[in-house]
Amino acid sequence: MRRALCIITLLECLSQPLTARAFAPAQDTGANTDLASRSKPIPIDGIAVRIESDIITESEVQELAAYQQLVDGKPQARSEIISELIDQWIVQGEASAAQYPQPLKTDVDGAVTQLQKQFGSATEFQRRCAAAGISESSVRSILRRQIYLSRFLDFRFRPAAQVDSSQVQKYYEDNLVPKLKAKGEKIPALASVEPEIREVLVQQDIDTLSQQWLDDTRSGLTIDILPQGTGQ
Amino acid sequence: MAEVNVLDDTGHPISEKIPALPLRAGEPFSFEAERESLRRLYAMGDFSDIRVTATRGQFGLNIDFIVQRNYYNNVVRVDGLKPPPTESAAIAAMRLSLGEAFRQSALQEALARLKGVLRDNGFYQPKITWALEPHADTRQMDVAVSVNPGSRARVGKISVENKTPYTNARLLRQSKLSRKTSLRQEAQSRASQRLKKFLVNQGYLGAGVVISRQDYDAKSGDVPLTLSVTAGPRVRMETAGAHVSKSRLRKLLPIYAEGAVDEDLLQEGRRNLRNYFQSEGYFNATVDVSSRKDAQENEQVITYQVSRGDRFRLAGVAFNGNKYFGASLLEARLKLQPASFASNGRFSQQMMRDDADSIRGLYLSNGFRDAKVSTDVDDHYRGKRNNLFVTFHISEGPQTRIASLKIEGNHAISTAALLSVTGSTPGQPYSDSGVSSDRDNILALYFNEGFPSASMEAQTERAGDNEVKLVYHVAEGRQVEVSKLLLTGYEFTRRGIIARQVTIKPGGPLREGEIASTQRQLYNLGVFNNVQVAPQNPSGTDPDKAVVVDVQEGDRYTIAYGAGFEMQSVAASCGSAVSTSNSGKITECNPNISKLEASPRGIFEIARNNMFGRAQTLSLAARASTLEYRASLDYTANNFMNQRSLVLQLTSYADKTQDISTFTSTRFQGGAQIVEHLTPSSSLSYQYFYRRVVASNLASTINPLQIPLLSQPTLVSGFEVAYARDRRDNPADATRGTFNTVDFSDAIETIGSSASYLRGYFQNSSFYSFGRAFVFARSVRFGVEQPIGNTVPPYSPSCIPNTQGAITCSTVPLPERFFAGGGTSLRGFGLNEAGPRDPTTGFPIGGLALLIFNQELRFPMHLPFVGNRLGGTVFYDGGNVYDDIYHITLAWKSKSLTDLNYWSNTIGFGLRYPTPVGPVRLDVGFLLNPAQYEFTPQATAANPNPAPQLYRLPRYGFSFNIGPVF
Repeated sequence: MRRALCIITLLECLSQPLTARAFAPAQDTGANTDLASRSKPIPIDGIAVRIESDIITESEVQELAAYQQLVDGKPQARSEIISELIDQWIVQGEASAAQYPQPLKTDVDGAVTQLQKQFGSATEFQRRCAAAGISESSVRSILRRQIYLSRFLDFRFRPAAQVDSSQVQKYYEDNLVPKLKAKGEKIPALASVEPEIREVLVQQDIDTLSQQWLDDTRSGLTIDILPQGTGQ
Repeated sequence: MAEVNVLDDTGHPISEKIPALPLRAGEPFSFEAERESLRRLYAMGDFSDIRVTATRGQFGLNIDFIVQRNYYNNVVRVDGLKPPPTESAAIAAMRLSLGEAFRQSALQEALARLKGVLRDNGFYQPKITWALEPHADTRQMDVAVSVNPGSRARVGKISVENKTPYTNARLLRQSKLSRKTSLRQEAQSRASQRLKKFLVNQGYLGAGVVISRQDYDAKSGDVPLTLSVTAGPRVRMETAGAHVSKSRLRKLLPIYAEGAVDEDLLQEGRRNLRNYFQSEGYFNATVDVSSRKDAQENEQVITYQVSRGDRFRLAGVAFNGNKYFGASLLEARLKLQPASFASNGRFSQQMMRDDADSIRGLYLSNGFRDAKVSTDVDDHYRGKRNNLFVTFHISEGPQTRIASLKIEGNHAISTAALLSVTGSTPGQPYSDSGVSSDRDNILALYFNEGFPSASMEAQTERAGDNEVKLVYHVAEGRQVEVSKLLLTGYEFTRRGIIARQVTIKPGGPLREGEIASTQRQLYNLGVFNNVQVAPQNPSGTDPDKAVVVDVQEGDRYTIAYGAGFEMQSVAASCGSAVSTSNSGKITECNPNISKLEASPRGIFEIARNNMFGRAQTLSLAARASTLEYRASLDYTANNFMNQRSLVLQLTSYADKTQDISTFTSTRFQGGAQIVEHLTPSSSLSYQYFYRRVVASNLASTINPLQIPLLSQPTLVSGFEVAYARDRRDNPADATRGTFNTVDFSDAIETIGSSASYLRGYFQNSSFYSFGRAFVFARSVRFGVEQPIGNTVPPYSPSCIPNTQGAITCSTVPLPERFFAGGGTSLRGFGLNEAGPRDPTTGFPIGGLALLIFNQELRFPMHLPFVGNRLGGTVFYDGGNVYDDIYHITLAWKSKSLTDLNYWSNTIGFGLRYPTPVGPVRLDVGFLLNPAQYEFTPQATAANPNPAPQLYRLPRYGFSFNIGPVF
């Protein structure tokens, strides 16, 4: 969840170009394999996590791993992916209960376009998707979900995220100025960058508050993480 | 896709009803549909794991969902514990709910909680092992936990963090914490409470006490404790302007209960004090609160300044403007209480406001949406100063009625059936509470038809002046059906005994009412400590549920013992004078003087429960005092002949009582009784009884040769049928309802009885409450005995001994006759003093007929010190015991000095103090027409021609009892 929030924050708040990710060998996640050529039963899905009376499926775990492969060059460890999906499940439940509106198609299209730009061209993007073992529609679906959940967290915790001038000042002096100095870049006046700094700090606060809430909520849930590929 | 299958792990299609899955044969495969299908299958709650595989088939892709079925929590047992904690506390802490899906992770969490409970109780190094016993056929998982708790830790060094003016030693003494005692959470809590209470009593109202444990020392087995005590500021409470006792202040001022001092609590205390004085008759009382610091004493002083004002009397309450509700109905709802005997009434501004709100609420709930209630207080009622009269002015407004009622969304239950449980029908007044009540009734109907997730929303729409259209939208949800019944947890009890109590039917809907009645009936067997009825997989969407009935059998043996005290007034004061008659020495006793006798009493009972696994009980009970010895052996078989309504009881007891000092009665009795519970309030019993009674100690009071009948051992053997219907709200202290009983018995010489007689007895009692706390109770008792066959009435001319002193007839034995008098019948008499008397000794001998009327009016009182806990009664008791049915009379006086057949009249007054087991009563009866009677003592050598002795019955009767009069 934190990783998703950072990605969206970077896409939406800062305008600095991102460096292209290094290519990594595509992992065979097992999804979308050509099944028709085989006659033995092939496992295609199962239960990865039992959470309350719901589940997180193996295919969802593999899908997120493939997405991370696409975006970051390599996926996280399985346990971290599962943790991320559990967090998403919690937020999704809260957002549904609050009847928070889904993002517009144009918002999702914009996020997909932004992501494609990282790979230079749509063709390259398609090639990289295939290599990572994820379809474009799955990428779109994941992006829509992440936009929905991050916006809900923002809606839920922004009112409680308070940033005062001294914090902005401190960030300017302790983080931004040294970084720019090290790069030899011109140091802008505080007043001109204050809105951006304030937003970064608010986002950090939202991140902290939401993580705290997620940890508290998770401790009250019944969660069983099943061993990969086996039953109970 | 060619096929979509749901298979078990042996490859066979599953038997459970599957919901419609998004993934369908003939459609293209999509992960989205596949995941949603996987979710829906899991949501059924029947499966712990599901794998999805794909196989290439001849016609396309075959998708198989391979499921692994759940096991469900069943019996959980924990053994090896050293209480505390008890097994039930340990199982409760584990929280493995019956019927929930079994999970290893949940078991680990449960064991962690068990360890926590053990640690709280001083067991820091328990060894816990557990074993699972799965039942593949029923999918139940039994968990057996074995605990070796080890030694209980002891309290080690106690460190004190002391922020109080007291020494550590004093604090430890007050807490009663000491080293080397067993470490138990409960003991720690009590120590903390004791210490806090001590500090609060010393005026430190904000004191805080925390006892925390340090690390366990495995070598010594000790746990050091830290006692952190903070006194806070000392607070002294004062009242000025009126005296209020300390105990009363503690009840009224919340700062004592809360252990804190803040403005809100001070103001709440002020309001409570004001309301208290107002309720004492100081209707204009005001209270102010102030706080100051006393530097010299270093304490905070809080002063409640009371200005009582005049004391008033609430003369009465009236209503005007009320048409829909009568005054008596409105008055019954009031907190205000007009003055009555020994009471100025109860009044305060708050009470009056509450009553106005209550009356308005009554109108609102009956469709008067614009109802208004205001109050008027006249403090010079009838020109008397401080004489209050309160008038409630009611403006009812128009009553909103229901124009139409429509019910939508119901399919499983007909509209007619739903309408039969709704009160909000066309033409009836509309109210929110009425709609709420309809919702509860409709949903109760659905819950009882197996629709646990049914819901209902109400919609109203104006339909003209003062009318609304009402629409109830019902969402039934899915009906849950019982697929099978599983009985579990029993070891000794026969399965059939349990099965017969279960009213839940496999194949039918899961009814909440049947779950409740099954639990109730199993508890009524009296052999189970705990009965749980729960569906397996309660939260799953699968509508077919197996229902588990889990019983926990109680101890096979129960032992009870106790001690008490009894006291009663017995007739006869026997002096030390002894004279010699032809038959020997006789002690002279005065029959007209009763004496109070008291005795300690001991009780012991042992019962063997669940005999033969049939929920039958064998019990032995013994009771002993100087007034009575009793031992009984009983066998009870519920569900006799597999009938839930029949109970078989075999009884035998031996009894020696001295409640009639004419004689000492030793009784041996046995019987067999079948009780048939016709309805919850009525029963019929059929009994064979056998009684052997020996009246002893007669020689010291009555010459046996003179009156041989009374000294003969008697044997009674016969049959009895009795019917009882009890509709009292509380048998121990009824305020409404009725109680009726009729019994007929027949003692027969041919089956061993020494006398043959018929006996009938009838009682009818009724109770009516009115006003606030007034109760009128009345009762009539009628009994008659008729000798038959060779049996004749006592003192019949045909029963005079012959010249050899032999008796050739039989009579109704003395202990079998009717007796009356005392605290539970005629309160103007001493115990059993009413009725005929022996012509030579003057002692009461009972009679063959009984007719008693009791009437009493119970009322509340408001007295100093006890408040309104003590109630009063005025009563009238009339009637008597008669020689026989032909001598029943309403005559005010008896016909002669030896004929005591007359109608006695007693009036009296009593005090009643309610307790959970019935009222404690002190009654004083005044006999309006005490009879005179005469008896002629036996001739003795010293006095061969004794003169008749004349006595009058005492005018007053005193009785002190626990329990109702009738």
